[in-house]
Amino acid sequence: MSVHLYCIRRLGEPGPPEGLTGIAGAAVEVIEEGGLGAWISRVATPAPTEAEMRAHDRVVRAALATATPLPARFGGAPDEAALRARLRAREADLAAALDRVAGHVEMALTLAWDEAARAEIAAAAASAVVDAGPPADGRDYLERKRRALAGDERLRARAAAAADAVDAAGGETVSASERALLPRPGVAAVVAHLVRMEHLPDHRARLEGAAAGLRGVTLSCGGPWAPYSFTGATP
Amino acid sequence: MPDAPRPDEPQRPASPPPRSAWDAALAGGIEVWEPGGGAGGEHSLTDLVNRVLDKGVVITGEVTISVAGVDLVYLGLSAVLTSISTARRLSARRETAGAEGDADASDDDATGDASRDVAEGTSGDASRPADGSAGDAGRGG
Repeated sequence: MSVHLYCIRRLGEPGPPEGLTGIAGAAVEVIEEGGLGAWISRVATPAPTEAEMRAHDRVVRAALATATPLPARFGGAPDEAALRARLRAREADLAAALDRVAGHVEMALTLAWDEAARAEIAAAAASAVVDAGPPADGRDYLERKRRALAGDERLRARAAAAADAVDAAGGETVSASERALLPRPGVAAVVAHLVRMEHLPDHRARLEGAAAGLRGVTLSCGGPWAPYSFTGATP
Repeated sequence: MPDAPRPDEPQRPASPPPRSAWDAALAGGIEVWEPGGGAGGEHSLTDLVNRVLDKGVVITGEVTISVAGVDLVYLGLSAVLTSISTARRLSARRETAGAEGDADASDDDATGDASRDVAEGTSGDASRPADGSAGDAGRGG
């Protein structure tokens, strides 16, 4: 039976609330190793359906209700022995990651291109279509490449500027920030802010105040989430 | 040397934050808001997928997910999903022509919109999952 890991906590912090269920309705238990406690369920490898992803996050949020955990990526670990071995081997860096996120939550900021920017991007794409036919010669081919790369770089620079602007708006309420530029069509950037619980109202006020000054993008903000983007601990 | 704080000065927040701040932060669940008053619940599923499938700590070096009984593997940071049809195609190709995976993780629909979103949103090497997913397809299917 594989093990599904939800999150990692320090030993001594409250365990799962009674009756809490996770993936496939399975009970949530704690594996203790060194100074760490891993919240897990013993289930067959789960499918990443919306219901199961929400179940995973529900357990992580149950942990977050009492102390900030290190959320785990969705999926099964081979078995309990492998999980214990890795917890032992990585106790120091996992403990350091827990220290970094203690008392924090993650806010998800989506910066979507506004109408004017979308129109510009569509116009650029249309001109790229004109370029789509066979090049007349080698020079024509290279010039098309240069135009395409310059367009991509301009777009990326605009997305980075928008992400910089929301980072600046958050100011000292933001303990750490992660970003993905141009993650999907229509979106300039997705930014994650790590914010201390008590700074959330100030963080929101700052972003609302700065939103009107953002150029070419509209902002939406979701959260609070457990700090999925700030675990800083990969194999 | 900084002066000691006067008794009437606000204290720096202790760690952990005050219980009231903690409860207030989490009381409403996940809220999506837009400056100016708009709200868009449609973002929460995208945010969920982007976090739960693409972020979070990976402890054991690999994590396995399953779609319709076929195990698919993430390798470290290369969090790229592939679908059942891709896994089977690659598995068959490997059997006949040796290892030459060119998994196209983004053009399959067996894992639905959510995983497509992840495949688009990750920067992982799309050729990597061929090893794990193709091999595991046999194990899980």
